[in-house]
Amino acid sequence: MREPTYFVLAALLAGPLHGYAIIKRADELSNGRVRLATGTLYTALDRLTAEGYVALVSEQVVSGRIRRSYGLTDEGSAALRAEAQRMAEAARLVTDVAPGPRTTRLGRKARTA
Amino acid sequence: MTKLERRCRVLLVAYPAAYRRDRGEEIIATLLEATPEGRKRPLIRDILALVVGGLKARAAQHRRLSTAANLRLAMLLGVAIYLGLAAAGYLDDFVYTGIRPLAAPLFGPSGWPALLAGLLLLAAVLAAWLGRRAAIMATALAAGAAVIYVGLSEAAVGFSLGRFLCQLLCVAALILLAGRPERPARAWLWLVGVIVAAPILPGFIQRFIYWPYLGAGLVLCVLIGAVAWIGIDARPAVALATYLMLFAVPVMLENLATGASNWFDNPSALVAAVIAALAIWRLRRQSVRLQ
Repeated sequence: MREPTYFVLAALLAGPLHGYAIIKRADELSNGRVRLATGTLYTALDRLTAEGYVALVSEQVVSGRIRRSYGLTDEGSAALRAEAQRMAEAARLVTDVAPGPRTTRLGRKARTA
Repeated sequence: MTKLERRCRVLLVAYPAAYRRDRGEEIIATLLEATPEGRKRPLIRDILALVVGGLKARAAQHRRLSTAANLRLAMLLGVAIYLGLAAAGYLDDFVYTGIRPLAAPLFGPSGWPALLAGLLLLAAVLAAWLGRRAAIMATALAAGAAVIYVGLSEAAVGFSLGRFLCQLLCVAALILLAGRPERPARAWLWLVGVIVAAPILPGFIQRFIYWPYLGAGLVLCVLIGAVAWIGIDARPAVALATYLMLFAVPVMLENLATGASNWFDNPSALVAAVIAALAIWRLRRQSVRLQ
């Protein structure tokens, strides 16, 4: 799962949100690292809706414009948790092992000897 | 409507019309909220993401169809381009004899039969896009009859049998390929129009200014455009290869019939074969695999 997709799903974990709210929430959750562009968000929402991870929850008209809210499905929630688990296990490979002796670069003489 | 909103709406053109109808207003609302206050145009990253997103949405349109259905639509477009150019040729003959009644046209029939054949071929192409099966059948049969009439009346003074038979074959193909549940995109009619205009436009413009490479340049632009579009949608490239093949095969057959030693030496056929191989390979990857 790519990072923007992960943060779009993570943004919806607390409840349904509309387009701009997803962008803001993903920005907050990633500490400003994932700044979704509008086009990227809707491409991701199309794909996630087709995969059954996200569903349209409500539609309302605000200031004459349609505003749709999207929510996480059970499948989406399971996929997000599985991805978080995978990343945690991958992180443990590094954090749980005590650092060994550090490798130093060989000098020109040592390499050619 | 603010300047910002107007510019955002221009960017939405990257998306297919059906997508714009469904989600256009929602995307505009999000884009306006996401753009910092005081800006008169969207952020560069938003512009790029919308263009890329639009192209991806266009590419996704035909990925729900099978390879066979996509191939059928692509070949229909190729046949439509061939018939559109044939119609333009008939209409050009009619206009030429209308302007200079004493001069014989360079090739093909003249007078009212040419006008009738040209208009009926155009009607058959339009019906293939917009009409029902009965309308497609009726216009295609009428166009076929007009082409046969022109062919028979021209036979006495000598004409291209290969071109004549190819036009009839294309009219029959139009009936077989069109009128199915999967309809060709309306935007493709613009492509037919541009390609039909490509050889006519230079002749018209050159009455005012001399620009020797305009015709070849337009055709080259269309070719490059279709090949560059293969990554998004390989069907226009398959259509172009179909057209080039339809253009080349009658010439090759006529050369074969006259015993020409270099009858197979045809660059159009070679270009068509290369484009077709590349485009069909891409089309198989872009289509739904049937279980």
